[in-house]
Amino acid sequence: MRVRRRAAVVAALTRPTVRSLPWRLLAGGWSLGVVVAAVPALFSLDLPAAVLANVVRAAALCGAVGTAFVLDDPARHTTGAVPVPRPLRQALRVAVVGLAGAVWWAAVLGVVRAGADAESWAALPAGALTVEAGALSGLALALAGAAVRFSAVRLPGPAVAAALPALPVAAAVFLPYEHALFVPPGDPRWADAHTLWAGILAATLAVWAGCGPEPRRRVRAVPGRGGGVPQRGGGR
Amino acid sequence: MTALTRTPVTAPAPPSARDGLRAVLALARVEARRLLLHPLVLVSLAGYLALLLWPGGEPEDAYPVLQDVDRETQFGQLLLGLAVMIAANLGVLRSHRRGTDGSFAVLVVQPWRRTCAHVLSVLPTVLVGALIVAGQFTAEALKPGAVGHGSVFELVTGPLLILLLAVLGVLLGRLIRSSFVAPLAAVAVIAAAFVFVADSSSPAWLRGLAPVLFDEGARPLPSGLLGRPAGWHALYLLALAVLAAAGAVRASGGRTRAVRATALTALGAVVAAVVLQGTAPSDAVREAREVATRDPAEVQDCVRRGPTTYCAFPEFTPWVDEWARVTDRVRSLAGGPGAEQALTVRQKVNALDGPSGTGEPSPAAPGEVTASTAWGGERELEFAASVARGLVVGHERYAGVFCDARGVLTVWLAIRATRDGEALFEKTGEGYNSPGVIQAPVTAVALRDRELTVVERLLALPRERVGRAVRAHWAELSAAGTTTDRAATLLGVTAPAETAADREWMCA
Repeated sequence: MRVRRRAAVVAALTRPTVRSLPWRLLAGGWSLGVVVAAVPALFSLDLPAAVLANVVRAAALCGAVGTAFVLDDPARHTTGAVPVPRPLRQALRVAVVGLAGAVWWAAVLGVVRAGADAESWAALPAGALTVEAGALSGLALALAGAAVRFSAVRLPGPAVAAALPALPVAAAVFLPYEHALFVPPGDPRWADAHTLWAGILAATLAVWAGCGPEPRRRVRAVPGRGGGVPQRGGGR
Repeated sequence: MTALTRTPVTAPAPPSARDGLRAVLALARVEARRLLLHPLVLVSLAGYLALLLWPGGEPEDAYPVLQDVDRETQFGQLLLGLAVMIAANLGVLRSHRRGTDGSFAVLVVQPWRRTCAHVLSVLPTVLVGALIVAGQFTAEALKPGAVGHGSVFELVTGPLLILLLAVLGVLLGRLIRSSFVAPLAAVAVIAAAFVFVADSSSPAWLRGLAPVLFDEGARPLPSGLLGRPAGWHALYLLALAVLAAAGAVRASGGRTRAVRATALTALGAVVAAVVLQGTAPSDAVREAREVATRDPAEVQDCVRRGPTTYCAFPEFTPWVDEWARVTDRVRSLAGGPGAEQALTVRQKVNALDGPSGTGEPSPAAPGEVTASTAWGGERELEFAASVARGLVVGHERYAGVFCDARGVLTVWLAIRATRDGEALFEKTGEGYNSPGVIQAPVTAVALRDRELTVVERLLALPRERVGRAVRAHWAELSAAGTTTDRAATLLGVTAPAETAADREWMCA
């Protein structure tokens, strides 16, 4: 009974959710990702698989920057009281963006494939790279979810997007050689690195899910931080 | 009270240029403080400093070559610059995000002056970057093993990268009113600088356009042979920053003649700098590279120490003492004729392809051994192998591995003459994934499994005992025909049987 009611709510919410998502920002990130992925094809560079993997990663990071804005809800101070719980609303947003993102990701891989010679493409493990892309987007989602959960901010997107490129860079700079995340295909560390990637994906999704429910007490707004009182304007 | 009436208001007198400047400077001061204390910039600075101050590192780091160290400062500054770009962009868009753009419209400071203030506000952060570079380079230059000369242009490239990226952040904030753009731009810069690296095989104009002139060669070169257009590249970055600043001011309504003139001058400078970078290296540098590669004796300084003469490029002469320490150690282990044999240690480079070249120098003339342009750790072991080969074999031409007593003797001498030789020998084998190989200059010294086992058994014995045997049987051990079995017997160990893998090697 409850499940059927939920299904009806989801069905009713889908259209408004689709309309309220920040599509322009998402499209911006995705287009840059496709452009990056298309560079080898456009300039007919014969890149080895190691470089192609990094091209795919850069494209994935573009998509993740877009994902940072998915939980932006300018109306959050008025939707706190509605009977549809926040996890459901957030999950619906993520599902819609996830579907569109999957299409985009397929396009990115297709464009990379078009620009790679058969040998390099064969050496490129697309599935493992998809896990990496998922983990990067999951990271954005977890950060945005935590920002929403632990502050009264309505639009966590700008701050999360700003912090997001720093994390992979920090991982690349600081992680020791044996535990590197960004390893070239064919490297003996590849399997270990991707266990770690899968762990990151699971952990970030768990953090996002854990931050979903509304807190029992009202989160106090930090004065002057664009939180508490809804303001005029309030762009991204 | 709120009724709108059309009462004529006396407009405030337009601010004089001096008042405008004061307002700009005041705003710049506030924004500069906010930018420097922005969480993203603070965290990046902390991470950057932690990485620089972290103890440890390779033994090679104790012997920095300053003409290479100066450009190693650039990538860290580029990453710091990305954080500053995003923070500067968020600063410009703060009024947009907080919905206070409308309130600013009533202020007497025009938007373009506010943009000027934002551009000026990045300078203290650039200065912090410059201080880090200065500290980093000074620390390297003060190391007792440091050789060579740094270039001011290479050193200012890092801070100029921060300046360019920060001003780019301001420009993006004025062009596109969304804080979404700066993180994407950061990803694009990462892709341009780290993924699609324009290396030495790229066309010159493309190399010049990239944020960092990337050169990663096998060994350092004397500074006169680098031929990197560092000065033109620094001008390119500076001009690009000025162009972006002028663009940002123009985009926010500052359409004065001065702005247009600045923008046009900067554009001219950018084009000129890109073109001039393409002309490097000059003919003089090419000629110097040719001479240094083919006939290094012409440009080298030589010092005589006992029976050994050390010839080095003038910048590298401080290392002669280090070479002499290892050489004397090899000679004392060899004893007898090996200790007295005249030998010239000559430093050699393969500079024909410039700082990105990976080629090895040509084999030394008879009676000479080759030293490279790097020192410390494994490089010490490699040099010791080069000297030992000079004493045992007498030439550096590659004719196959030494499947006899000479291979055992050379490697044993090299390991015993080097500080921590055994650990370095193991490490160099793991590093290249080929145990038993020392990457000595010109041609590697390699051992088959059989000879490697003999060497390992010798290392397990007391050094004095093996040393006595080596000195007693030097002539036989260094002769071409002496077998591994015979060498093992002479030195007091047994050699294992030849394996199938051993038989696949080409023996000298």
